[in-house]
Amino acid sequence: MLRFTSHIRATFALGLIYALGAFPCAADSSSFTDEELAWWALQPLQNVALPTNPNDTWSKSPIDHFVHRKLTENNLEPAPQANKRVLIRRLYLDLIGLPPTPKEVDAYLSDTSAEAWSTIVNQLLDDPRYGEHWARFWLDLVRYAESDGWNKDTYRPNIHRYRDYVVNSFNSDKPYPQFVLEQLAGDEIGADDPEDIVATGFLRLGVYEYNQRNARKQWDDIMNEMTDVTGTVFLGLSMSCSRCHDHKFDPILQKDYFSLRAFLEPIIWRDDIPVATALERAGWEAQQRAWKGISGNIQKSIDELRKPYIDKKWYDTADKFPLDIQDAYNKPESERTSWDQQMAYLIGRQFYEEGVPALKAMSKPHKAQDALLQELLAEYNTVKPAPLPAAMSVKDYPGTPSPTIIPGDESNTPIAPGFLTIMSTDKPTITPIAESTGRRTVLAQWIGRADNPLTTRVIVNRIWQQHFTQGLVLSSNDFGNLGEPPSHPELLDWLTQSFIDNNWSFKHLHRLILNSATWQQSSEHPLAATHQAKDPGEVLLWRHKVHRMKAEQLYDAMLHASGELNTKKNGTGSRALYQRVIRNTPNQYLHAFDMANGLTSMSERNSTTTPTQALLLLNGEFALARAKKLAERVEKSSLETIKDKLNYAFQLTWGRNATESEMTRALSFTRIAGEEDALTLDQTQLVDFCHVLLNANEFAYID
Amino acid sequence: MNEHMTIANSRREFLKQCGAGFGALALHSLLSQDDAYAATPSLGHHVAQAKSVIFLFMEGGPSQMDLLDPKPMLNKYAGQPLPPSFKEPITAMGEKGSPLLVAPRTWKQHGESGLWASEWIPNIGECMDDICVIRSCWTDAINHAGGVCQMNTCSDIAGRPSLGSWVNYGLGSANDNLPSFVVLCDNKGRPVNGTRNWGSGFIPATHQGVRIHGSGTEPIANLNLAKDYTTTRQQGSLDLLNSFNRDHAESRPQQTELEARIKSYELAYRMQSEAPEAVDITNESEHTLKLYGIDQKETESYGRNCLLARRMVERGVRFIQLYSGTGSKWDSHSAIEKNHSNLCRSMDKPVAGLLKDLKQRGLLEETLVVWGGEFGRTPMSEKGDGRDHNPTGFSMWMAGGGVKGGQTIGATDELGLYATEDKMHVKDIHASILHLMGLDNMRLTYDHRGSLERPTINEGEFNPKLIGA
Repeated sequence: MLRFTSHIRATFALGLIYALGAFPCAADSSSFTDEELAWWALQPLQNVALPTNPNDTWSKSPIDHFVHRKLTENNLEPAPQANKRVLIRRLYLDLIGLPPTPKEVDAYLSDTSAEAWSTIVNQLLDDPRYGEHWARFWLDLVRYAESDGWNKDTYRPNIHRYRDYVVNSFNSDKPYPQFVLEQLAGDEIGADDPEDIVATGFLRLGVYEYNQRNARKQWDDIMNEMTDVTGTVFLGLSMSCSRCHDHKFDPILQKDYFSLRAFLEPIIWRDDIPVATALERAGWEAQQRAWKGISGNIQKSIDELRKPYIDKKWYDTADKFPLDIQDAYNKPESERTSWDQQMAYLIGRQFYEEGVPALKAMSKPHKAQDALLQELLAEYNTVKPAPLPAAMSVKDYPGTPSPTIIPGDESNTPIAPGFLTIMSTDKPTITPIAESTGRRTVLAQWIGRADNPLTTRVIVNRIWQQHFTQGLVLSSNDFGNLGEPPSHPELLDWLTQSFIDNNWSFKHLHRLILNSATWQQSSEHPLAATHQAKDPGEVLLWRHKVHRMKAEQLYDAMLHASGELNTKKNGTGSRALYQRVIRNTPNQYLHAFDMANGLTSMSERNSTTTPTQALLLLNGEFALARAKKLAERVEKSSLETIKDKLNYAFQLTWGRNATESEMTRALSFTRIAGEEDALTLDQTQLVDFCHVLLNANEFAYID
Repeated sequence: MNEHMTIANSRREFLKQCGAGFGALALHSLLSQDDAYAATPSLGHHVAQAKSVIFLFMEGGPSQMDLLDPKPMLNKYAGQPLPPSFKEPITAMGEKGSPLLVAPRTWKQHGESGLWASEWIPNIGECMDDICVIRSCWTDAINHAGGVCQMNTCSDIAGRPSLGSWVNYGLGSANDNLPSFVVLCDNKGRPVNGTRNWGSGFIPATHQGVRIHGSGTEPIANLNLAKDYTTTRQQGSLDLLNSFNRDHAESRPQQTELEARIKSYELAYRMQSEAPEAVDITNESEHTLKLYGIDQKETESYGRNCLLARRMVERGVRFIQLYSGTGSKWDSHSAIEKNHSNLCRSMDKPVAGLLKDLKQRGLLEETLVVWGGEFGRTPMSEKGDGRDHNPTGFSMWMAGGGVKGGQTIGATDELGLYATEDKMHVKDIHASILHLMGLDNMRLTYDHRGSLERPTINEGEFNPKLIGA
């Protein structure tokens, strides 16, 4: 909770905005000023007509008309189209996260048909590597990581299924509302699809501390963080301010925050739900029954032998918690509320996290007896079914949901699930589904409504941002008043409408964008200096921005150049996406190049340039090993002359042939000293030359 | 968000600098060292004495009632349960109703100020006239991960920038050839939470801390040339790289990122010669080595780090964090006598040596030294002869950087369980450190995509008693 003095100071610091009077903070105000009601992001999508300009000879797609109009209004000119070599490298990196091979470059350059471009765009959209690249921005947003965080930072062996689910969702071009529904309420869909269960892993991605005895605070922190992320990812709003008070700068009430949290309130984390169809489950259960049938007596003996020790462990585990938590745990399940069950879950996790010691405490004779019984039981292993794969997932508590109450509210008024008051004062109709409250389905359906002006614009802007490094709304995680208004509001609306009309297809959006003259502009502009003076942030899109590859692109591109990239499916490949993401010990290389930290929702990576990165690429093992392999690859190629070999190295790294001047330098660097006419290269110098190519700006940057 | 190092005034000027080739840079570096140290730091929000912070971090949580906060009543009631007048705290290990544990210390008042210190820290005791003890610290976290996270980032939940990053962001570097936020650990272990303790959260990674290894052969990761590489060989590669990068940048005007990256290689190259020099103590006098206890086995490790901290301060490094007991070694759930007496011995002389050395060199006035752990320890026993975590009341101290020494701020109750007077939350402590560095915790902001973030999460206040006001 903010202290009063801090309120005053915070308000003072932003006095200018406050003084405009746009953001009154009347506690629990349910009526809004005209200005608040005019918040751009909440206005219905405009039915926009394409701008027409008879003098516009540049535009070739609908997007371009909007961009061209803004450029003309500001006396700016678009850059010329980038050359084909630049375009193909940009396209590959943009869609599949990898540069094209020399062969792929040649294939495109030699295709002179009118459809060459659209063909290659479609081909890459169908490439499974597309999902591997595009999953990453979503994983950044949902703070995906594969460990618990906190001190122990335990690896989460099953969470990678969620990552693969995201990859598959992009590859199958899943309509956005479906994508949202599965992640927020996959367990409530009731279809016999194990992927729906995996998708609820979204609600499991926060940090978790196994030995936290202050279970009340931990669960409250977990729920609040889950609420924050849900608001940020789907609504594009930074909701956390309104956890403590009505938002000062956006018409979001404190009540709204807790209404959002109320949708999530009854969830129970589940670690036991198998990733299997009903049929697979039935088959497994039958095998399990058969195994139990023939080995039942042995199992019974084991259970009886172990019971006192396990009971004691349970008792000892629970005893470490404060008394109110123990009370919740000690209630019979039938009497528990969802909060009681959540507390019981946290106690249970501690029991299992420290599972083995219960049996370590067994007496010597009991241990011996237990070992003997285990041996006997093992004889039936041939009939014992292997455990089904499990997912980290959630379900609602089937009993009484605990009320959501604003902290400090002495009247203890329960807050019902509801949407932002300013968008809708109607209370949502929520009907229970099977064993669930149905709350999350209602939230997901509201987010996925075609007439939701906020959520639809948010996702379209995110896709745009990936293609242009910045969104039409720069603050893609904050569509509120502290964020930025859109640079091209009509374009955003037109694109959003087109997205919805085309079955919420991401691939449709990609095609629209990639076929535009806007995206195809060169990064070089004859009037760059004067244009930059007029539009320093380059928001008006008068050229394509040169930008450094993201950490994963750089990592993959090095392996790709050296011929070592293994792109096996199902998460076993060597791409950066498949490297373990341990929160407290991030991959040194990816971390240095600004990979997301998996702790907070990240809508835009930083793009830093540091001496640490230079040291890593100059002296670090990874880059040196790639350089050696690249040199081997070049040397072993069937090319005969040393010039051709060197040129091949240029092609593999920079995607183009060397200029004459570059070749001269390359030759003098790699030739054996004193042997001007030698037909072989100095092998050490060749490695260093490859190392230089991998370090070069032309390798790391995308034009 | 793009963030890069400052670049030369014009690209032409910069390219001219580079034109001499990488071999010439080493010479340039040697010639301009003094200039680098004297580089003008960015101005803060107000005039301040402190230019650098040395944060002596006792990882795991030292016992306040055994070091700095004597509690006669604790010894009187030792063996009895916590009196019912005390609110039962939630303890990390969950032992309930454990008896109070005696703190069998010999206490002495020191210097003109007469501040108390126990026999476990006799050398620090000699510096009490320069030290301001804060006895009323408190934090939100009962576990190490949350506690260490909060003492570093102000929040017990991971993801925010560390204090060193904020200082680095707010004041910038005073020496381009060294990182301006460095971390040294007293053993090869990993602190709780790992590298994110000195991470930069959502502010650019340029501001994060860099771990320096004081002993061993490579002070910064990847600083040394790889096996079989020589300086000449690297220079050859760098010259070729530079010529390619120059052509590339010249055909892409108005793209400052490209120039920044060219410069980053130049800096990396200079760092390769500068950083080893900064951690090379072979020219330090025998007297100095003794002062820090580097001549003795038990104080060698922390002593070396304390000496390196002074050398970093001299070279304009802004924020230096020295872990003592890296990997939660101060955590003493049992056998606290053995644990704390060993750790105190390893830390006491080096810390006192640092204070004395800074003072005699006239550096203490512009160097803020902070001492403390992520929390303190309970007056109640655990496992018979240990103490559990105590986030509700513990001691820290500050010295130098404008702090008025020889005074105590705040108090805990008769048993040392809860802070009672002049309570200072971690946020107040961070706000105070920032203030002493010339930064206002409410005016230092970072626009995190629309959300204006502050180092102490909109709370926390400078405690003016620190400067005797």
